[in-house]
Amino acid sequence: MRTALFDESNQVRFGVWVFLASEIMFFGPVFLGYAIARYALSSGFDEAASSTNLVIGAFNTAILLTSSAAVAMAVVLSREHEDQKVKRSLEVTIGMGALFMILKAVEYWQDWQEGLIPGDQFFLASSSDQRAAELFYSLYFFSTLLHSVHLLIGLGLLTGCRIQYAGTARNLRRLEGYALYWHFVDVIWIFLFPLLYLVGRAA
Amino acid sequence: MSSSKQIRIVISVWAALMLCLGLTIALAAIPMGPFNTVVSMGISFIKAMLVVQFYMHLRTAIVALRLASLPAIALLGALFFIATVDYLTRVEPFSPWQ
Repeated sequence: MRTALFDESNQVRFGVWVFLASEIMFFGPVFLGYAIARYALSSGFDEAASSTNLVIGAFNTAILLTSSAAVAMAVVLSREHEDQKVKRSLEVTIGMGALFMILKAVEYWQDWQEGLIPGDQFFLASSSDQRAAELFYSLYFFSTLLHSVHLLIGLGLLTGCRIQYAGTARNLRRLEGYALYWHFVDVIWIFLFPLLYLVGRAA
Repeated sequence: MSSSKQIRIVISVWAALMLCLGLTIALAAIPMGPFNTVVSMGISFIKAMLVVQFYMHLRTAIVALRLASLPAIALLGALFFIATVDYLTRVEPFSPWQ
């Protein structure tokens, strides 16, 4: 039965994968811009990268990876119709996502206090090349804000899914689609983390 | 696959991801020159593959799903290639993003 392979669940998955492919095109040039800027301004760029808050960055990575595990768990449990456990897993995922955003906000607030917002007032005390540092921070803010917007959308979708969840076939398909998107947002962060927080740490 | 086995996979993959995270932070402190970036990107690739293959179930997905994102990755690869060749072969020193 050829048609059986492409049932409704696979249609949803396929739709999400095609959407994620367009998202790869959306995020990709950010990484290209980073590579070119770093190639042109190597030492000043690396110096600026080592001034980001590694503790919050590492903690946030662990939080996001754990939230991904929680939503993967929700998908496994939904297939077993363990509705209550699915809801608990979704709550863990949403809680972790919210915690990520709170820590990110704390980090932005610190950056603001330290005068690291690109513009006329930009000044990074530990840097010998202010132009390179400012370009790094432009990339840092653009990429993390773009990521945060995606994360907030994911939080909204998963919250809606949690509220409506009753274990129906439609619920299951939606949950799986949203989970795929959530994992994608996690994968983007997996690549952003070393580039924004670990570069220039080896002294 | 039984659900208890699938739950074990989710937990094992999470443990592997955490291990990779610890490893990438530790290795970033060791001076390796350009290889620091190679190592950290390599570990990121492993982490991404763990998420994609196990959490996004690409490992057991039908072929159409596995192929869906390939054109985008290929096109992005071409874009990276062309832009990199352009920047690397400029005679005049360039300022980034121009």
